[in-house]
Amino acid sequence: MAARTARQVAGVTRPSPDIGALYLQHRDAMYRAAASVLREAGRASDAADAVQDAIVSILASPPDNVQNWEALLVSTAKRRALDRLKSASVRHSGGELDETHDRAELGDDLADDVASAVDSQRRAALAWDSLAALDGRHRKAVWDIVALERPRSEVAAELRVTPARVSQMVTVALKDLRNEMNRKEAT
Amino acid sequence: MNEEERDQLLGELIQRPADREALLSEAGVDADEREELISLTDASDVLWLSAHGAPALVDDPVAAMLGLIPDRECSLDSKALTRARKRAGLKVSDLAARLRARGWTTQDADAFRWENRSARDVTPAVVQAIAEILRTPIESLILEPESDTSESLFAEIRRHPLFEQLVSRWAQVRNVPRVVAAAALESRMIATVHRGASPDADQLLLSLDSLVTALEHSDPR
Repeated sequence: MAARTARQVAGVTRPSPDIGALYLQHRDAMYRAAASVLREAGRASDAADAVQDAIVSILASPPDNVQNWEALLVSTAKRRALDRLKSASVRHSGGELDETHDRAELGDDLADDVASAVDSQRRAALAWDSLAALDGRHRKAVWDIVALERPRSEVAAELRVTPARVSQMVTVALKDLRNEMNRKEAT
Repeated sequence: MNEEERDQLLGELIQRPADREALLSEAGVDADEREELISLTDASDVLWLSAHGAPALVDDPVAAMLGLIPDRECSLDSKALTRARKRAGLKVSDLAARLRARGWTTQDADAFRWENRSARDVTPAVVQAIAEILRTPIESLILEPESDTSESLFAEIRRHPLFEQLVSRWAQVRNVPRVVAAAALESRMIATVHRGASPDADQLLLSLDSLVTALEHSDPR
């Protein structure tokens, strides 16, 4: 449960926030950061494990003097996601990933991580809101294919169209979605 | 590249994010097409991301691990909270402020409600934080679990012949399978008990009967 750490601020010891409270605020960003890292390896569904690894590591070794908890949580989730890719890569190939790859993916500046996470959160919310501008069939096609990564043949069967028609609908839907997002961002 | 080929390439770009550069090079698209495809894959990435946030709190294993989901085994006892807070010499608003200082979004009205109305939504992590603030053992702040009482009551009702009849009537009037009807009635029972009422089996069955009857009377068929 709540981990207790302390930090020195102007010579006064203040309690750090409870990890549970921090997690409630930033869990969405942590999941998205981990899923983004794992996506290219087709392992986005491991995001929950990476987030759990991140929280467990913070509970096991509570950091001191944290200036930005959001950045720390997001970065730790990304790092644990990379660890999972790394261990899978080692298991499958017997080789080691280059350590510089790890650092390059994470970026040296925590502020970059948090800025990126905040921007991702904002744009993900914008995309979700913009879906409402699409008609029901195009919305289903693009959501099922792109967001849920369902097989095209299944979605085609449900929409009673050919798989090629589904691809066409996805293209149209993405254009409409992009235009709606641009319109919302401009206002 | 015709439209069908472009749709197919876009599908590949969406499915294989790690291979995008190679796919675009192999396809030999011109600069304008390339820019358009990259723009559409950017939109697809954002949409993908919108589906990959945290799950609902009750389905989040990390939230469960951190004690962020209300748990009947660790329910805050309103009266014990009042006693401990007064013993610590704090006002309700002081307690709320100290919880906020630890990162919780507790308002003064929440802390007031926990003592005067219901504290069933307080999560184990917050109960622990309260115990630490008030410097009291967490065991002294939690209610005796009532799950055994409730569960035995629900089990008694499920075995009752009238419950079976109610399930059949609910299934008929709502045009749903019996299993769905049974789940709906059970949820209703649980909600009744957790709202703070302490009915016995007969009272609960009577209340369910009234509900089903009202539904039957409002059914236009």
